Amino acid sequence: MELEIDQARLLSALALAQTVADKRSTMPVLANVLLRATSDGHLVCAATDMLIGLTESIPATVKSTGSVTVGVKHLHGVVRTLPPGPVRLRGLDNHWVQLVAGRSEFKLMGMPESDFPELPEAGKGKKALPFVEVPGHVLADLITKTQFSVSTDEARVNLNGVLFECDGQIATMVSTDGHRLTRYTARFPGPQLDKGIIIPRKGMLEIRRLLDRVQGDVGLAIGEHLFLRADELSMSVKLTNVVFPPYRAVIPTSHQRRVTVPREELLGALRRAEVMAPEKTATVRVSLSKGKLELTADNPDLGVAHQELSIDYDGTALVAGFNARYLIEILEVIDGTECALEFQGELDPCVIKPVDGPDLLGVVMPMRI
Amino acid sequence: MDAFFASVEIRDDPSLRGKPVLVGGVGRRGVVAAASYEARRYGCRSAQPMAVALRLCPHAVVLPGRHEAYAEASDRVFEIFDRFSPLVEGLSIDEAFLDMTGTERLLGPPRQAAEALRAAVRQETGGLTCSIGISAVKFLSKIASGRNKPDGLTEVPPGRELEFLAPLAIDELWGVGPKSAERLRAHGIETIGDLRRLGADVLQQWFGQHGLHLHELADARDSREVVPWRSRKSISHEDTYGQDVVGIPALRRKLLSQATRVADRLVAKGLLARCVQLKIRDIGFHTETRQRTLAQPTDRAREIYAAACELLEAVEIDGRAFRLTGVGASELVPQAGPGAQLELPLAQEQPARDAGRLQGVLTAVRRRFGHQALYPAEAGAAEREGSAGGYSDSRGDE
Repeated sequence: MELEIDQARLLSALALAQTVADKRSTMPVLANVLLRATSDGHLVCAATDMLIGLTESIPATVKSTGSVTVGVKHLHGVVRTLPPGPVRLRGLDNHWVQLVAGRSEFKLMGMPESDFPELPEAGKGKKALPFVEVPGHVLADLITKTQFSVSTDEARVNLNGVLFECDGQIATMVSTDGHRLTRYTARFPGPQLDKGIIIPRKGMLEIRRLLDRVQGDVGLAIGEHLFLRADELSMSVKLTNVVFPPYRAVIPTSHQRRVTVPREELLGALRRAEVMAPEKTATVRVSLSKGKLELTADNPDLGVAHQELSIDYDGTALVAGFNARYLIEILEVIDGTECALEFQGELDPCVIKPVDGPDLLGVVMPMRI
Repeated sequence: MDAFFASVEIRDDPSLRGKPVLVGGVGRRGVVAAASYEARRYGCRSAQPMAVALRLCPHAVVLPGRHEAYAEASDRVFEIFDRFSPLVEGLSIDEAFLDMTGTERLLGPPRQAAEALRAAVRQETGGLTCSIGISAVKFLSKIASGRNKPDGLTEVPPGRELEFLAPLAIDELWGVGPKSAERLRAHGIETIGDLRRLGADVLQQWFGQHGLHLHELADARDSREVVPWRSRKSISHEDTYGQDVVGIPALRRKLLSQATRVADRLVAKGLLARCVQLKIRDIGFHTETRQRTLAQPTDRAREIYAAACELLEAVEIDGRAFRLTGVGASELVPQAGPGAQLELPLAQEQPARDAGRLQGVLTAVRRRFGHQALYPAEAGAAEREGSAGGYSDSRGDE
């Protein structure tokens, strides 16, 4: 294998590969990136952690074809600090790789491609999964607006991913960590799915990263894996075979109290309250009374923060405790100047949504105070 | 507290006064949970096999133990502690650190406060006694408290810490277990003074980071604060059986009975457990412990039992007979009190809420009428057989 490639192109491929590669695996080869020089003048870079597979093909001047795998962390580290310009890669004996840029030379120990796991493919011929062209920015938006409330608790496997439903016209993503739930629905000419799929959390983050790199439409196919194809990039994400809880039942359909609040103002007050709130619980007390919404953060080790917002409210008073972070995170993804907060009682879920905006909704359970 | 379980028994039955009393498992394989000072004179001590204790002191009165009574006495004692200092760090059911900083105006110098505390404990618990250690260094107070048992008071005046520590045997030091002690003794290190003279460098070479910590302690340096904390780290119930237990169905019955008791104690303490442990020991004394984290904290016997059974599946059962099983619950969190984050009622969990109410009722019945008043039918055999062993109630250490 011998080729010459532009430093910046190589770097952007390695940057993606190194987030996918698994540096802590019991399979050392998963910490490597596969480099393959092809006869059609491309360098194929691939990485996987067995859950996510990523392949990028970048134009290169190939002198001789061949392949090798090498630790992505250090290769990325070297290429990142090289000055712009051409980089030469050459396979040596015993799966070593030589990298030359200007008068710098690096030799890295590698492993053969045969050690590297085969990445899942969307299939060929009759068995091929159909790819649907979907707007990348909408998919990115769906992920951004829901990923923050995916559970990171490994004991709750059915909540460790986002639920993705799509009827071909409209897509919905739902995430919950058991304390709060986020649902976002958007127009999305995607694949028609009989039932929802669960995209694992790490997969969401990698898809999001990939979408940052591309513009326009991307190809999406869903089978046992989710496949994404864009320009020279392709990604596979193994879907989780768990059942998402029946989330519709926990979205309140009615409310007793409703207020509308300027989103930025509430967000600012909550961020200040969070600074003062007890670190572990982030509890803030939300009080509604005639004409005002009060936010109180009381920290026995620190002090008290009390803030008031003027609102148009004439209903019965309410005092409820909330994790400030949960409120902040949903408010941050609401586009729009006004948001609505809907309450039942002080121990019932609170619904947060934009007043005039997309179909986005957060359900946040209160805390006992 | 001094010989806590035994003292509670003697308090509640004055005819026991002056007699050697052993609390613990009464069967062949029982273990001593507490020995009165009269019994200790014969060489009996806690954690000793009951058979050994009875060989040493054949006329001892053996009692099976009443956990509720001890827990209640413990609660009362801790209430008294709370009056003496806002910073009380419970160490076990009958031990605590009290940070007396800033209480001098109110309670006088530490010695005077300690005397008042001892008097209050004796008066308000119906005659239970405690031993107190006073020191400016946290772990030293604990050591000091053990110097003059029972009903003692030991003060290590500021500046005299090293003098106090130097002659003590190394295993009095926190963090020196039997293994480390053995290793140190092999090098001729017998006292805490020897340990200190050895120097931090050598200790670090031998024990790594832990060695540095040991040297600090030997040098009477302990930067740990008194952290107000009384919640337990785990609740467990284990039994040593007079008759060997063989086969899955029999083991499961035992586990069900134990899971039920653990659940009752969780409910009584208003706690939920996130983690369930199984402990099992065969007649060859091979002990296995396994644990499993639950999706959601629970105080329900059924869920604890289910987790314990799952853990049991990983144990090689065929051809083995067992003498002990235990079910434990750890990673305890308070049940929805102030500051508790409420869960979304994800629909699949709806029946579980009813189960929660059921557990509360079951526990209430058993608290009032005893463990055998109401129990799962499957656990029936285990309940009727009675359990030969005592229970062990392990609580948070640090």
